[in-house]
Amino acid sequence: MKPSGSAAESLAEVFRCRRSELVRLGAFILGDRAAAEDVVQDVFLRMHQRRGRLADLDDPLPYLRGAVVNGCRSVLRRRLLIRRQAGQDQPYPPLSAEEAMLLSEDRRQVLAALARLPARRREVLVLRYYAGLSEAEIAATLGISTGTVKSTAARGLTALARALKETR
Amino acid sequence: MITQDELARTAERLRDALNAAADVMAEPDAAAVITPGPQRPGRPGRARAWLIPLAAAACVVAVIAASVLLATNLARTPTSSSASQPTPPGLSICTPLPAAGPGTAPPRFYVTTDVAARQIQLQVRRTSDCAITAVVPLPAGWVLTGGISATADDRTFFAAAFSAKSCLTQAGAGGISIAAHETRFFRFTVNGQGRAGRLTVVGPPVSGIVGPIAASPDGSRIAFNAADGNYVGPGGACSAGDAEGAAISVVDLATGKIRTWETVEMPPAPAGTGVTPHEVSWMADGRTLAVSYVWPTSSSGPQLSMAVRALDTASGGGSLQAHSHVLWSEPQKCVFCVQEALISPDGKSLTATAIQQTAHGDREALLRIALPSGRYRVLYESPAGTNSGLTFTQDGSGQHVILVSSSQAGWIRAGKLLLLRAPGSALQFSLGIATIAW
Repeated sequence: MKPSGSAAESLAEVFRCRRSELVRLGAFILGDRAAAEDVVQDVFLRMHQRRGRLADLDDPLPYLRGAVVNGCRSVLRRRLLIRRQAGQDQPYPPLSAEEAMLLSEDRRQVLAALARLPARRREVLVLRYYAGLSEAEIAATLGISTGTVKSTAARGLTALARALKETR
Repeated sequence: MITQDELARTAERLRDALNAAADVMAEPDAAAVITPGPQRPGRPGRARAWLIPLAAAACVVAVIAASVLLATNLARTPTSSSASQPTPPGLSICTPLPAAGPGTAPPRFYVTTDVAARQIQLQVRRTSDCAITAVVPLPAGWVLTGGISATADDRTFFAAAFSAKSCLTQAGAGGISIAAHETRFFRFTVNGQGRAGRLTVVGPPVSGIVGPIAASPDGSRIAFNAADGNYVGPGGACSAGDAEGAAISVVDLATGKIRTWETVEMPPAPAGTGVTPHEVSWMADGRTLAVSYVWPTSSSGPQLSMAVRALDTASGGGSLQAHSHVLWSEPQKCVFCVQEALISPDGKSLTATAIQQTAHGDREALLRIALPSGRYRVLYESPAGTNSGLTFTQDGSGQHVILVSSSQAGWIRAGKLLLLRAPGSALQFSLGIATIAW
């Protein structure tokens, strides 16, 4: 089963409406907006090109979020490999210097601490506190149990609080 | 010790920082926008990516085929490697090929694509070590539309590429679009050492963009889906795709003659339901062409069904339905739902990529479907939730398969995908288009 033309058109509409949100989601997970843009673009292209049997094209956003997170994981894995091998690939920050200047020092510290968390914890926290997903939705997006979401979020938040405490 | 109050405050600070950062973050580059492209009435969307290189805000109806996207992706991908990049230890340069059955040997070369300075290159690689033996650049400004196809002897390769140019949108719509000007077929040969001959244009030009191509086993003919999408019409105006329904064409490269078989409806699609052709593949006789096609299972639903018919290309053109018969039809409830299917040279089986929906996400698979029984065997199955957009290419014997996903390619051995780790290229592939062939 493949998406029909009308489904593809609605996908294009979703792309126009949700791309920014998804890029930001990816940027927060990756700490790299350019890479996040690539991930989001790839996700949409994949959905459009592969005429996959999308279970819920009426509301593809949950699927898209999951795909973006998966794409971000791939980037992180590759980046880790490259770092190990060649010490290359310094990611671009999610915010430009000018954009960062618009944020308070406190907010910059929070974002910096978030960027230092392990990927899984960062994913859960970004999905929870940026995308506003429930624990069940995060579980569905990441393919993990709600219990794991709960524990990962708690550990991530604790680590974040500890890191922020240390930077005071 | 972190208290509950501190956790609550941290959560609030995190939410605040993320939202503030999102607010100040500039809008992502709006230059690249995916759109399904214009569809012919009654035709479900073909699997093809469209990239609009103009401002999205202008709502420009521009159509450029998937390979533009491939070019962009390759140029932008953060994982693109260079020839000087060290190969990670523990990974072989080229994973050994699966052991072939008696009397069969894998092709010595395969051709894939890369991009340098936004110019698409066809790279000849030696199967034994994946080393690049030749690079054949497409002419500047030409981009792949129908992928690459090889003859049965693995010595002649074809590519379909188009050039784009501006055209005037219809009255009232305003503005200028970019559309395919014409598609041309390119051919080059490879000698026993993997060196490539000159790239030559073969056959007549075709207006607009063609779908996936398939070279006949002897290389004398090329089959393709008829032109689709916008093209530059009379007076420089943007014109939409032509006929409604399925249209399969075969060009005779010796005479330049194009024969076309068309139909709007075709069983087992229900009466009144338009069909859309997908892949085409030849049987070894060089006469029978397998044509896969899809149709929507309901007027409004997103789901499509698929069937494969055998077209007798000696019939000279006309009705696709009249000159073909059904080889295989997807059951209404499929465990593995087929995405693309190619016929084996002997016509006894299909090789197909398929998707299985599971509670843990989609699982992709490569199937061998026996004909006419429809019984299938799983050759490869990805982990659930992979969603890599699997596609594949098979050689002239139909026994050797290269699997391609969005980020990797490899052979199959004992149901496992052995990754290609080739130097000099990230080996990133665009989905839905065969950017690799042997």
